[in-house]
Amino acid sequence: MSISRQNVETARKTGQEFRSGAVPISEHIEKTISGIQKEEPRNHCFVTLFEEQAHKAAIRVAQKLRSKEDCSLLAGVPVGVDDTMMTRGRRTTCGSGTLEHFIPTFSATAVQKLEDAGMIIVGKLNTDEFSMGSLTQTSFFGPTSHPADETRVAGAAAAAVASGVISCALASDTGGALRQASAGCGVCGIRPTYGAVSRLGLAAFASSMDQIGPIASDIRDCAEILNIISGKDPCDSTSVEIDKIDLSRIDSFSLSGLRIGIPSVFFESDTDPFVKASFHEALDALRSEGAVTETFSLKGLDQAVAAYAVISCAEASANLSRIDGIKYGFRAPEAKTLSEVYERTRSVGFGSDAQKRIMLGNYFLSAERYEEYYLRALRVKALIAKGFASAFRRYDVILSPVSPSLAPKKEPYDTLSMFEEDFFTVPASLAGLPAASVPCGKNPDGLSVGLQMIGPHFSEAKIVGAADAFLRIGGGQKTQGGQK
Amino acid sequence: MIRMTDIHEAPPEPASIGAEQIEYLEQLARIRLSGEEKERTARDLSKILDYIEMLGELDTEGVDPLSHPVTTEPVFREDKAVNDDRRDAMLRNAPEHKDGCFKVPKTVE
Amino acid sequence: MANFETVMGIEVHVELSTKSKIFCGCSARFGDEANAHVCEGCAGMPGTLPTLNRRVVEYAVRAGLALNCEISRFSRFDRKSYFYPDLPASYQVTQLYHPICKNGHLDIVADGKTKRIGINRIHIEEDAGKLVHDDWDDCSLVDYNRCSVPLIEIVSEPDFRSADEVVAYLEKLKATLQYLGVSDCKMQEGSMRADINLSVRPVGSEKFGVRTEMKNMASLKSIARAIAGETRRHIDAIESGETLIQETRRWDDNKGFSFAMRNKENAKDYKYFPDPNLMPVIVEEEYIREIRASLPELPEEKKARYIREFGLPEYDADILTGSRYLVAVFERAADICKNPKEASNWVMTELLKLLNDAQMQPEDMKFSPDSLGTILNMLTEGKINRAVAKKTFAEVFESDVDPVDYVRKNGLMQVSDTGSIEPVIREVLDANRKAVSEYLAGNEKSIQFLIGQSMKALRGKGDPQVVRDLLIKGLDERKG
Repeated sequence: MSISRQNVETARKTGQEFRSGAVPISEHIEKTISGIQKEEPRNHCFVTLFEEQAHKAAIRVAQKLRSKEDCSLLAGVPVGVDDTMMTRGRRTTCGSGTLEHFIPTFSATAVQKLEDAGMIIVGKLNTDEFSMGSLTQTSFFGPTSHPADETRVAGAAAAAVASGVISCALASDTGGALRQASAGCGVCGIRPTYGAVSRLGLAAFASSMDQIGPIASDIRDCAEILNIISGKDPCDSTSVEIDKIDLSRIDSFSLSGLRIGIPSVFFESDTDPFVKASFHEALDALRSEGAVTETFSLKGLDQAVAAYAVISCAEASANLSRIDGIKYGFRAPEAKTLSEVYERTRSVGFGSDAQKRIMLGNYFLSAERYEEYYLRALRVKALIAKGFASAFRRYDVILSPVSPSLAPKKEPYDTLSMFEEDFFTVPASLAGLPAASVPCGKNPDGLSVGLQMIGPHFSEAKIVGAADAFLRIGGGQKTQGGQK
Repeated sequence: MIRMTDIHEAPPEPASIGAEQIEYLEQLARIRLSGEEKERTARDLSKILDYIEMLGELDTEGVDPLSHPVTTEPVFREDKAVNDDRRDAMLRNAPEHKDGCFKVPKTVE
Repeated sequence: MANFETVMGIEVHVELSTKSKIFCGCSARFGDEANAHVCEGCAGMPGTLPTLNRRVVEYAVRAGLALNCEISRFSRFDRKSYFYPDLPASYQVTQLYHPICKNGHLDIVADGKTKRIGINRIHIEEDAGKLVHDDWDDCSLVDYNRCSVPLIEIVSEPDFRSADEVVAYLEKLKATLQYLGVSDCKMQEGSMRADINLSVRPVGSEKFGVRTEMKNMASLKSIARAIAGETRRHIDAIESGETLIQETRRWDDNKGFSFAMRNKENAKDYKYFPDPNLMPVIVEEEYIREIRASLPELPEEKKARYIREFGLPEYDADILTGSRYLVAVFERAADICKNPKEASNWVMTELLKLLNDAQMQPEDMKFSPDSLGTILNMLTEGKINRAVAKKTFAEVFESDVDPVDYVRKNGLMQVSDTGSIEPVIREVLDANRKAVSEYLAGNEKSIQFLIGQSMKALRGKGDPQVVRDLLIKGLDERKG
């Protein structure tokens, strides 16, 4: 077991070394890829490596840097991308057997923006089948191993960053996958305001909640990447413009007087004692810097997971209907009739968790259940969104743990318990709020706990400021019950 | 073809998934389960539905359903045909194609 | 049959004549090679998102205003899910819960009576692709060119009681939509499709019978036959005590019978829900006002004006205004020749005859709109005679020739100078002594024969008046 996070340079530092000419990009990319290849048998973070394309990109970006072309601070920096995002001409599986050999003809807007900024995509990261899950348990390609414990699972983007093979990655977050993955591996991640990053080219799971965000060992790297990938996209009708985060002002962010709200149900929930203790210590640390904490009640939070389950399954059932073996992807070879093409392709192609969620979604949307489930879930969602809006008149940020438990073992899972793991993360998803996950503790076995910071719509700069200040006071570096 | 009568038909039954309902869901979802899978799935789905029952515990009377949490300006595309003929690229991922078309087993409407 | 009444409602799908599709930048043009107008979006690839074509909303609102509808300030798109190869996303984007237009009506004239047909709603949706069956290879081939072409669906109330009413409604609807420029409404190309919901009940009964929906009628005649055929099937079933099933059926015009559709249209449950990828369409009052102000003169107003201003007979005005394409030819010709009555006569006689002979619809006409006016001017100015004018117009209709060029190149200019005609007249009189004697003996009808002979000698180009005058002059001289 080795977590060499401390040895990894930030993406910004690496970018600086490329610009100054201290380190050649090609050499760094080569080192990165061989590093991945070395760790891969144990970690199983990547579904596809883009070795050849990454080398070509390295030469191109180096050329651009030499000719002083306009490049971002992260030009040349290797990055991993969750395999639910389309990469033109390069395999994109969405973690599903149905798309095992799928080669998209366009790139996701977020991917395109990374590449336009000169970042180099070294490969595609393992993912739950069509994002249905958080910790790669439902992936067609098998689960990713936790960096600290091979017998446990982890989100691949976070695990790759935590194991030090890359410094940053893009992940998707519907009910909390990005945050759960970050928390589990002790790295930082931001789910931005719904619409802040275009969803074009992100294979849809639950369209009303899907968002792309950055994961990095450094919160400022997250902010830098978010600055690159955010922005209104004319191809995504639900996209919005957010302000760029000004990192030059981040040092002056003060925790003193920061108004922090904590929904009282978050204390009452069935949470792992170590998670609970870490959360309380984080609150203590924040208070000692002058932050003011207060509990409050938010109507609907108890029902948030139920509402999330209904909405996400319903949307997923429609979104995944296009996986039918006709236009692309897997078609069951023995299918002779049209009905067999549909039924065998979808029965063999989808994993059992995806099948259950699709069937549930069909149930919720069926004519006689629509009102009872789907509309009611949208009403609960409305109450939650309203509750948050009024809470943010009193608080700057709302805090909670990210996950109620530590990284689970590689064991058979059931769909309901996966939903319940999202207890802390789905409320922000339903309300479209930005939320960051930052490390706030690590147990003696090296299993990490994350602190979630939720802000009002468009408050990414404030969340990053608070998260950065929290990390500066050492909030994220503590290892309870063991050495630093 | 749309009719308002399509929306509500039979009164809802209690939320538990039996053999008959699994078959109905298989049909709607176009997924066929084996006998053993059917039972396991019915059990799992019933468990989730039991959990979701709690939606009913909250009084949502008079609350408008919320679809989009973040309001945005309306987005329109201007009426311009900008795409080239990209048929070959579109067919490249097809399991089967013929004469520039996606190919499926013979079907009648 | 006398004891039964047929009750019908109509759902009309109209493809909007936009340049591009409803949610992507692919061309919406009809008739190109299979899958030439397909992108990731309309092929249902993962990760694609729709963006609404602005013109689709504009056209739907135009149609709604012309059909006397309320325009919804708030409308929204829903997904309608079913599996079929013509639907790449396995759902169609449509408007179930909040359609863009509601509660309109259209007045029709059938069996000599005016009747108001209620329009329940107009909603926007996307078209599906097309399947071609390949018998050689025992497979079906899917073409997505029509996929995501914008449609409006106009749903009437069940106000129809006869096929005549249905046909009158469809003709009026077609004329109106063509005037608005929102669709070319070509039934043969599928840009206008009518589905008939039909039920039969005993006369006097308040209760509706079991309803079936019929699709696949490619012409008004086929619709009339389908209504007759399906009505008969319902009555037979009722009389023989068979149970009718509420279902969608496909009309087979060759067999004269409808057949239940097996797959696509009889799905159990369409699982409608709002499409999370599209924001609601908010229509401002100001926008509605602007569109209302930009609406063209519609058939009824136009007809009244033709009668009032041009003094056209009601029948002629009715026929002319029945198609914006006839209107276009008529108005341009009237404008150029400054003689609306003459222009109307030419459209009513010559043009309708040409269309009928060619088995064409007015929207299929291809000639330049200025041509008829130019011909009529040449006629009034005496440059050509009436026979040449007709011949030239036929040529214009057939191959869009320039009338002035055509007349010149073929030497069809009317000959009216006496210097050229006199020698011909002399020859004719010399060659036809018998007719001359008859005329001189008092049989004035003989002059018609002599005129004919003279025109023939002049190869049709002679000015008939001049020819007649010169003939009479020559004959007078021979009276001696």
